[in-house]
Amino acid sequence: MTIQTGNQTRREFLKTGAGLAFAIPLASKLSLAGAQTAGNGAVANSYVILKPDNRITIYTHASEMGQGSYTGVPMVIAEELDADWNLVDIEFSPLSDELYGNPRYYGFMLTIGSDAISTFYEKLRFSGAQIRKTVMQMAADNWGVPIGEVHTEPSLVVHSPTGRSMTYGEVSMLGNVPETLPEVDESEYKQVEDYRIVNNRDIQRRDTPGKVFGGVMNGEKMFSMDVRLPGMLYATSKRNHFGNREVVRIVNEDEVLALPDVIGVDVILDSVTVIARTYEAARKGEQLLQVEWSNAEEDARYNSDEELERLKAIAYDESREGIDVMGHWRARLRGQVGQAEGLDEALASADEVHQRLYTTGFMYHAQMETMNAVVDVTDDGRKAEVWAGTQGPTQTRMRVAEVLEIPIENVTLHRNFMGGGFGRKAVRSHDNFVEAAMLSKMYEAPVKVIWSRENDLIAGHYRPHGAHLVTATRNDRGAIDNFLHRTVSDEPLRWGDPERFERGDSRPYLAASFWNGAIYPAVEKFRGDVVMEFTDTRVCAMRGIGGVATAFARECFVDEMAHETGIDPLEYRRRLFEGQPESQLVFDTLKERCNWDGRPGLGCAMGSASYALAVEIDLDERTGIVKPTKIWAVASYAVVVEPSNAENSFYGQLMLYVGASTSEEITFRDGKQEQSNFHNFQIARMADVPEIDVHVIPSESRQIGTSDGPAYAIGPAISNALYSLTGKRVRHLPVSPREVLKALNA
Amino acid sequence: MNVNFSVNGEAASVDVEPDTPLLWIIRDHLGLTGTKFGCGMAMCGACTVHLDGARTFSCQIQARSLEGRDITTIEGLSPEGPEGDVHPIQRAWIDEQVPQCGFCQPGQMMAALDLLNRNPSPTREEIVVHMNSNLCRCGTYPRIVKAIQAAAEEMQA
Ligand code: FES
Ligand code: FES
Repeated sequence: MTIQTGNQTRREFLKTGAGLAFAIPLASKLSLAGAQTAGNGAVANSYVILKPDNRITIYTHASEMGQGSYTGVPMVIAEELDADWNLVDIEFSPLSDELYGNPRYYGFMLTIGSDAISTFYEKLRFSGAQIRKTVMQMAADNWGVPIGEVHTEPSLVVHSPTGRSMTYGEVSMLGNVPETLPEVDESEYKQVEDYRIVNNRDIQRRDTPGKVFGGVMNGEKMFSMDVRLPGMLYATSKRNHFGNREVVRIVNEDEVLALPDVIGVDVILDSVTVIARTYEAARKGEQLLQVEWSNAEEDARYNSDEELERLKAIAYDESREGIDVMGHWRARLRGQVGQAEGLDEALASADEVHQRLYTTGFMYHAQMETMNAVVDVTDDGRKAEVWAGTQGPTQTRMRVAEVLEIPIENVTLHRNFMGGGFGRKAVRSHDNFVEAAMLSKMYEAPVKVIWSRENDLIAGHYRPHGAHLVTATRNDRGAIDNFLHRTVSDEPLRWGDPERFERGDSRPYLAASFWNGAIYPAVEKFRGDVVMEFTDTRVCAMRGIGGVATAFARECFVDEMAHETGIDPLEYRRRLFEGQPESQLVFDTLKERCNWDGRPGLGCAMGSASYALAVEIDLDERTGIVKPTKIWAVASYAVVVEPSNAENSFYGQLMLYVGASTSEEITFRDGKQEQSNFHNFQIARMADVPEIDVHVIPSESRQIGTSDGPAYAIGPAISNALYSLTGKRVRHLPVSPREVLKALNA
Repeated sequence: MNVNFSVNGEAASVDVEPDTPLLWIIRDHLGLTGTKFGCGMAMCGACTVHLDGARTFSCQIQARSLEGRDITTIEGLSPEGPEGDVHPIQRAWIDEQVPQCGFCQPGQMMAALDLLNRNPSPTREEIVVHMNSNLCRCGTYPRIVKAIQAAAEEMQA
């Protein structure tokens, strides 16, 4: 496949690009940052530092977990800077919430929600354009010519009439840096058709060679799990299947301590750690270790199947009022969703109301690199150095400072690359770091903690399971016009980031996500309600967050409505986008590419107003195994920052959701997960890769294509395909063999 | 116990417990951290190395069976590093821009090399069967296939 992105004029994009405008720090703040990071006299702002040797350092604020923004963020900046990409060196930015905080997350440096580029787009463009304007001004002043007579070529300022030129490096040494860096007007930005770096397929990720050579870049270990320090000790930990449990008794501490090389067994908050001179010894200790936990008797009665039945009952229980979460989501939907007023009345007075219930299971991140940390506490416990693969580096630093009871400035944090994150490495408690920090302090040595896969799974923070009750009406043409989506679930933020949960505007807003186009424009009245059900199963956000569950319910429901009205499901969706030609084009293109002809085993789903997909499946009726054999995805984007990386990521997301929609699920029986490692938690393997056809339509509108999209539409598409093949519906995600057999035998 | 073997053509000797997995010997005792840990139970392939010329899950091989054996890790493919003579497998992995998070990739490359050593021009089907041992949570499978095909051509040329 090739992601095609035309380079045609897209003034419309530039115009509407202003709609994304970044409210905060412009010139003053950025130049302040430059002075802080590069010292006086340098041509710099918080993202760019020009060096006298003509090289350019560009900072990337985002953490890198595989998504590619380590390269993508600097690409956007370098484009507006008109830099020679070969002269650009990328570095992770220093830690500063003030300079690099994400306005969507209360100003913390957090790489979550797939917005490392999109939320920052205006700020990044501005940062590059500002330095470009600065060097133009400096060169013009030096030559004594008006700025209007100079232009730039890659890393070069040129006096247009005479052809005289200076490299950016030469300009940086002129010494006439303005006191305040200039403001830049939207009209001074580059035209999309002049882009050389952004949207250029030949630009490769800068972290590729290091990863191909085993995880070493510029002589440094990329992954924290690989960091080694002299005299380092190794530790593992064991945690309970539930959160909020205390260690009552370590049953066989002496036995563990008697193992060769084991040094200590300790209780750190709610985990028991084994520390040793070698990792293999610590791991052996972990396997031998027996712990009695509080609440054991009650916990042993917990079964996730029964729990889900309980959530279903709550969904129907009208005495349990839901919280309207649309206050949060509407703000991000730019008026694309029907209003909520009068919905209850409309449903109550309708002649006919359609209602269906869907459920989704617990999902585990299963990032390839298990949770780990390296911490070296020195100076009698007053200082700490941390090597961290984390999605929230300032929060990690804060947490380490807090448990060591030292000032934040005394904690130095090295930003490592992550072997996968998917949301797991943003969980605010940062337990892996707490364990390493406490142990390093106690044993006065650097400590590396590595969680075994078993501990990573058991102590995982899952995407919560939940029940989704959809209640809707249809108009006389069969189209859905009123839609109430009631979710019963725990709230990911409650564990993932309690502070955001407390401060959230219309919390709980991650249990059910309704973003751009996540509900059809034909729906006149719409509301998403959430009934929060708290338990002690640890949860947090996972890739796609609540959109995975809400899309499953919505897209299965829409399919059911289509079949009931006798309208083709793809056409039915297309009509729900009436008046929005760009979205309709997505469906038209999809129809063409997959040769949509209603053949059994073909199903489709909408991911967003600019993304839809279809899937064809095979079913083994004996085992209930559903296997997608071909996927067609169509997306409509204005600009794809890193085309090659976006293509790789497109595939990757589809693969993750193929697994998550068919074979992966965390279930509890008698208080324990029934899964423990990759033998019984089966993620997609190479043999599960279907044929994949991805098509990108160059868009006239707003969408910036980066590396994450609503590929989770694959889940409902599979369920819909199963229906078209068998006439039986699975209203549960994942569409696992167990659920398929249940449906086939019903 | 003391055990002597060779790693990437050089003699190595470690003093470890007899049941120590080769994975931790390589990573911690010898400091070759290119080989990764993903599951510890032969289910993910992140720890794949070559033992006497054939791929193996290093998390499953114990010190007691290592005496005199010959191990190749990812660090052994291009001894001069990225600036020197780059092994065709690694070249292909860079050209095809395979990695996302990159954590599984050393294991993927070692598994791929083992395939090409036995079968210089594998079909797509043969690639899939062979590589099914190695998980990639980021889902880079389509590019892995492409890179193996590219490397196969390169190695035959
Ligand atoms: S760590 Fe050896 S196969 Fe997973
Ligand atoms: S590239 Fe991330 S697990 Fe394979």
